[in-house]
Amino acid sequence: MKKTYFLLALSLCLQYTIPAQTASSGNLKTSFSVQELSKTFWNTGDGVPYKSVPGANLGITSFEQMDKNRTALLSDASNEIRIMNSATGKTSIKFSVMPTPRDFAYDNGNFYVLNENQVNVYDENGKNVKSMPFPNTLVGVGRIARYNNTTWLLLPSGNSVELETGTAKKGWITASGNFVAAVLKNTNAYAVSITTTDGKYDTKLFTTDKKTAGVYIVGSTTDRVVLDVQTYISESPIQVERHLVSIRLSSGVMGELVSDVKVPDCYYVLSDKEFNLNKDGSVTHMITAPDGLHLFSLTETELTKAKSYPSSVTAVKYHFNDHLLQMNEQK
Amino acid sequence: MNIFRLIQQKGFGIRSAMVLVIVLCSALLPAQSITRTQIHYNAIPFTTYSFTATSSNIQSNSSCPSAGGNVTTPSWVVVGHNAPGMAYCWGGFSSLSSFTTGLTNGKSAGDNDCTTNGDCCETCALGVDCSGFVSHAWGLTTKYSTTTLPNISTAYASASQVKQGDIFNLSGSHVRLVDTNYASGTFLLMESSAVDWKVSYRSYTAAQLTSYTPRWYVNADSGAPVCNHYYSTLPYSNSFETAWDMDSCNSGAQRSPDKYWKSNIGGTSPAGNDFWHRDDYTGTDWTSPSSGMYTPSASTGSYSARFHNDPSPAGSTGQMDLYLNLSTPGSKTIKFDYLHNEASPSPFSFNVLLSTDGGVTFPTNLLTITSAQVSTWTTQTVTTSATSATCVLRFSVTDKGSVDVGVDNLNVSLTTVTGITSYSEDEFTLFPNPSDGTLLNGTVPETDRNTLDVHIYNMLGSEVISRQVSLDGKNFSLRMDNQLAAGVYLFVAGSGDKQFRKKIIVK
Repeated sequence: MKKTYFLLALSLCLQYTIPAQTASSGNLKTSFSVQELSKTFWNTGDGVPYKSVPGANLGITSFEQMDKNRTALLSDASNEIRIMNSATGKTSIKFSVMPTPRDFAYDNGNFYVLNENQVNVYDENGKNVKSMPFPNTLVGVGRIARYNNTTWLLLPSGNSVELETGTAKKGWITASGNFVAAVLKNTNAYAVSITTTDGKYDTKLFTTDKKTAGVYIVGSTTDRVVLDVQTYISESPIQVERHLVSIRLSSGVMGELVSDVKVPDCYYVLSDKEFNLNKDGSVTHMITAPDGLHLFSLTETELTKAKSYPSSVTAVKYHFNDHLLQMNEQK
Repeated sequence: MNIFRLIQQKGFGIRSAMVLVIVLCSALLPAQSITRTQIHYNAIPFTTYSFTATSSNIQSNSSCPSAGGNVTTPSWVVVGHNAPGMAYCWGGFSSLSSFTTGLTNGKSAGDNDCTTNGDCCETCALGVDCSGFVSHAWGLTTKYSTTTLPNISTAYASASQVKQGDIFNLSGSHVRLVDTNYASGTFLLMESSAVDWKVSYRSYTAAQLTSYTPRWYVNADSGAPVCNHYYSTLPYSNSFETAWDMDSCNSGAQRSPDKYWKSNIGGTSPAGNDFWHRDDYTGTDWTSPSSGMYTPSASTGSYSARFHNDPSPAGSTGQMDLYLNLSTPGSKTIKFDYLHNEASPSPFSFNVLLSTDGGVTFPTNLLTITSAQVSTWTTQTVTTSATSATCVLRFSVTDKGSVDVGVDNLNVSLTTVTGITSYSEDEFTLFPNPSDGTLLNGTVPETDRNTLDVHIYNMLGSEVISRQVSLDGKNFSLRMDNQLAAGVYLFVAGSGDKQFRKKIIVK
């Protein structure tokens, strides 16, 4: 009888302590295979600008792949959009944008550049064709997206607001039209929720080995959700380890973690957008290193065949916060 | 010289000297407690600060001999109106008032020359640096630095613990003030930095805050905040998706959708269910919060503003006030979605009232919904031509029923005329500005007309000049013939389907 009670208690205990749906990154059969696309040098004529200012080191804050051959870089060091050859990494066209840009989206031949309180639209020749201010209640907006000819502000709260209509939605809109949100649940878990274009809603809990510091949406396709998962190495002062993970998605229902790759600890400048999930499921990753700006393509590959990041970015442990201007402030 | 020896030389015993030292040190340390909400309210005006600059406030590499450095004004500062945010200045500790006063004395609005000692601020330039901003937010009367802020703050064990009013500090380099610690691990922070060259909001991931230490001010507590009112400029919109704020004038619960709102109890009920909250509220203001909930819970997004009235005393009233600066001339459109799916509750009334005197009186009823039952989310639209900078929009509902009242997707904006393109201040020029009141010249983007209809309004919204001027290509001149007294005016001009607005100053 005692044994029965014990098993019953154990069963109840497990039921309430272990979430029904959890997934961690153990036992994966695939990973991201990394291929370097280009490298661009700092502060050269056809390279990218770099500037150290009080509070931050600035360079390229965001990037967009315009097509197979062209990548656009948004410079908050020089307040410019620079269009470069994706293979050579050399800048062919550049034009000025309103000072202190935060992020941009390229759509239908136009650049939608996010500033503190407005979005400025530029054509490929750099002509400012439109300005769209937004309410001062939306503060700290650092990301923007375009979907189906509409402009979306991706809010720090994890929600999205359509600029043209003011419509607000839970989650960040992604290129597939799905809205994805993430919330930390306890020390080693996070919940991801998705609302698909046909209104289907799903949520699932995932676990991390170390304490979860933050989970940030990279994007989603019809069959994948990709996240930037950060876990604490030190909680104070902050030191984190970053992983890019992808989750299987099937008819709007999330499955298990499919791939996981550790992101190199190399950050030469402050950037708001470092990853872009492409329609074909590959991820473009921008790494800023002391020797230049690197673009990598990450594709899901069998675990045994996956190629990792080159030592040029993994061997360099560099964070811009450790190399800020020393201000020697007076009290 | 050793301070104890110095004091003893002045005739004090060692015990007396120690007491004196303790007293002296206490005087140097901040002792007054401050609430986190008050820290937030101290910080907000630095992010919304607006100022008018003249050409003397914009300098380029100008020498500041008394401080031994050079001054260059940040490039975002222009002659005329500048907003929002106080300009960055290394070493700066300007208050809102000293910044405003300093402008009239011809000092630079900010300084982005960080090659010298950083001591031009206050001498030749105005603004705050990162720690100057935090010092003001924490209510300190002297400026602390990123290396001395740790002396009056305590490190958290984990960044995940930070709350509003805390800081992320990187000694010797930078400090940021916490606004919101979001559930995803995103931190919404306020900072004075050279990223924006002013005080602004930015959001960060944990990785972006590498090496920063989360800290809380030792004198921060949770006492009652000072009552504040903030008026939002247009456009204003809110679909009530984010968590509501604590009301600084009516402590006890999250009763304000954001800082521009106040919850105002109607008075027909002593307490209880006549407060508005976000629809998912579960606190003690409401009893049986799941009772009376309407569906769907929002017209857009997931949440709405909800007047909960089941159960409640008969005929109780709840009022929710939005503080608006409607000083821009012209018609304003107020739109929101409304839901109350119940037939014949009694009593019932829903009104949108307008005050132009900061909420002292509400003489204008903009909208009364007479049909008690509105079973689906329905858009309501009203307009007003009020031009007061201290308007209050009141949503007032009186109800005795079993289904609550919902409001969502609120938008207040200048009424737009279809086909009209408005240009921002940067897209056309007016000069000289400030003007001596005789002549105003301007250049506008290409239009298909050869005339421009010009209207100039004073800050009370009254039209003081209305004239048609000729366009010579893109250029025009307006003779004002000293018609205007010294002050700030709004210049509004239209040509065909284009409209231009800009503030002008007459000296």
